[in-house]
Amino acid sequence: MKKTIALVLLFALYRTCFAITAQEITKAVDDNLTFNEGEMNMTLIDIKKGKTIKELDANIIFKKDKGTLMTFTAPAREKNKKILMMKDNMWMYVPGISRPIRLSGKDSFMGTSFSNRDLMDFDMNNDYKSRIVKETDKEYVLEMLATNKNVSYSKIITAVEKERLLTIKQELYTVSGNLIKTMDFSGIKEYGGKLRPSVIVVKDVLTQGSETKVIINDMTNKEINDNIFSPQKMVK
Amino acid sequence: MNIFSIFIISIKNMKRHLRRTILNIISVSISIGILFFFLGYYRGTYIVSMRESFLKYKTSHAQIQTELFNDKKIQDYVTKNTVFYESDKLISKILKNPKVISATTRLAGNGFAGNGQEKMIVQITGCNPETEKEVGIIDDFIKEGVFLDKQDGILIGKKTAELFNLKLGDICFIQAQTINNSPNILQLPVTGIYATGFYELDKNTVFVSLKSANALFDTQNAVNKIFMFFKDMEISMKVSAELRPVLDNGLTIKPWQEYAQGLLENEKSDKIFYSIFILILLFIGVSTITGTMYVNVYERVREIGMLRAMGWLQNEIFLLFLFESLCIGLAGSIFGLFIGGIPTFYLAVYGIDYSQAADMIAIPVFKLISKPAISDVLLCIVVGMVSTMLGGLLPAHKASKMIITDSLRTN
Repeated sequence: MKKTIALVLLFALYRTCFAITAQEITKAVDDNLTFNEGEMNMTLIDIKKGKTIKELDANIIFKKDKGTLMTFTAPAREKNKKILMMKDNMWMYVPGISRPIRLSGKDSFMGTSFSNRDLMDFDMNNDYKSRIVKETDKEYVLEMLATNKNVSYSKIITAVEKERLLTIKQELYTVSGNLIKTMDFSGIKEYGGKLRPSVIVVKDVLTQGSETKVIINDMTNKEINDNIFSPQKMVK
Repeated sequence: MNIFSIFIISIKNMKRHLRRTILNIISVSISIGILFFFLGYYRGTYIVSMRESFLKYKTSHAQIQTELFNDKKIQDYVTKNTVFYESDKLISKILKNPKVISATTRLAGNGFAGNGQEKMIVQITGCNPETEKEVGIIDDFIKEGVFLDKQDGILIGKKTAELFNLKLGDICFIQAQTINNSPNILQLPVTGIYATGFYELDKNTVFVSLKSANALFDTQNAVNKIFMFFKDMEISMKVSAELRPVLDNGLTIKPWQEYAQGLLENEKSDKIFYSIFILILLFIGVSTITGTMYVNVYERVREIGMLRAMGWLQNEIFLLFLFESLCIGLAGSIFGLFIGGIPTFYLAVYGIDYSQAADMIAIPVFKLISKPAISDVLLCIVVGMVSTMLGGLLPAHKASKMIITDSLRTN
């Protein structure tokens, strides 16, 4: 009997010591979502009541802890517009205007359902404290609570595919506890040796029937020069 | 002949030429009536009505806000630099000044309102329902439901309700950036629908309780404005100066004149236009009266010659016509004040609602009213009498100087 109890305790201890924690899942999800540095091309489609309202193509250069630079490549009227994010600061450069304009990370991204930060900042691990609220054979459901007030959403419920530790769905909640957006991740593809969702669909609770879709066309892991992350460089 | 006898003769003369006298009095009274009406109408509608409406809707008599609050930067209405706390304490200090009638707090900011299908940009105004009811204009324009009460709810304009097909009790979504710049949403039932006829209010503004606004902007119990009303709008600068020492550091008080630059500019340009208009009116009035009197006297040259032949002195004739002119002027002015007084009284007591012009003039409540002053009455009497005197004395003077035989020969 004593042996049985000891075994059960030992098994429980093993589970406790070696089970993946919520924070580890979040970190793994962040790591799987992107590289530390690299470049990607994406298409952003804004759909309202089933009709495509806006379609934007952009090139994104990013480097962890340094910044993210997005340059629009299409359509012609948006071409060469740039958005730069460095930590909590964000600028937009419009060709023909001499100086970059400061943006808020929480403003709507080019009139879509995304906030600027939704698209420019992929690193959740630093800003949220996670806990597993549900676990099934196929997925973890994490509750991520903001650790500071500088983030857009005070709570995020994330469903993570267990096998590949990839985000399947996110529900984004405001400080008042109301659901504001949902994000669905699909179309798992390999980019530079990493599997990650290629399609993200964001739905705004206030405009049901409208959605914004991001399609990652390609992503490469490559070395990025720190110097490009400068508002002054945007003009050049 | 003494002055009193000449005065009596002038009265008898007026009776003798009764038809002419009546026509002269009517002529004078029409001009004076128009003048009197217009002066009261201008003051009432353009100064009092417009100003009061604008102040009640937009600026109050004075506002307290942080020094960094910029009314033109709507996107920055709710930031750490533009909100302040413990407004209740401040209000109780303000109300100790006997010239302050009321004060109410607001927390206004930019955001979206929607029905869950669509959304649009609106100004979200959080207010204290009890004091706002007394001070603001919305309560007067509630078409359905009630003003905000203790329960959480939202007041929307008729145009917003139509646009989103929202009815009383339906859930309206409001979204805004919190003070920390995170998006936030509240779902509130529609408790009231108002219609002012003013687009800016009926479509672009929604009202919620201060509690809801604080929950939306995540500002605990902050406000970004205190609206105050004084005993009179004209004392706003003086009272603002008196209240300044009561304010905490970082707060400032601004009288309505600082917000209403546009209105004052408009008033200024309107004043020039209406001054010219009044001058033209005066000119027409004076020339009409003068012309009538001139003809009146000139037709009586023969009579003047007769009086002179009977031994009347030149200055006695002059006095006779002076009295006649003054009497006609006085009677015409009084009658004119009566004629002009009828529409003036109607506008002063009832007014004419002209809210359909609200969008055009960017003021929500617009009533055509009249506010006559004692100075208007005095001005009208002076204008009436001086005009008749001018009209009467010049030809009388000329006629009295004529050779008696020439005067008698005149037809």
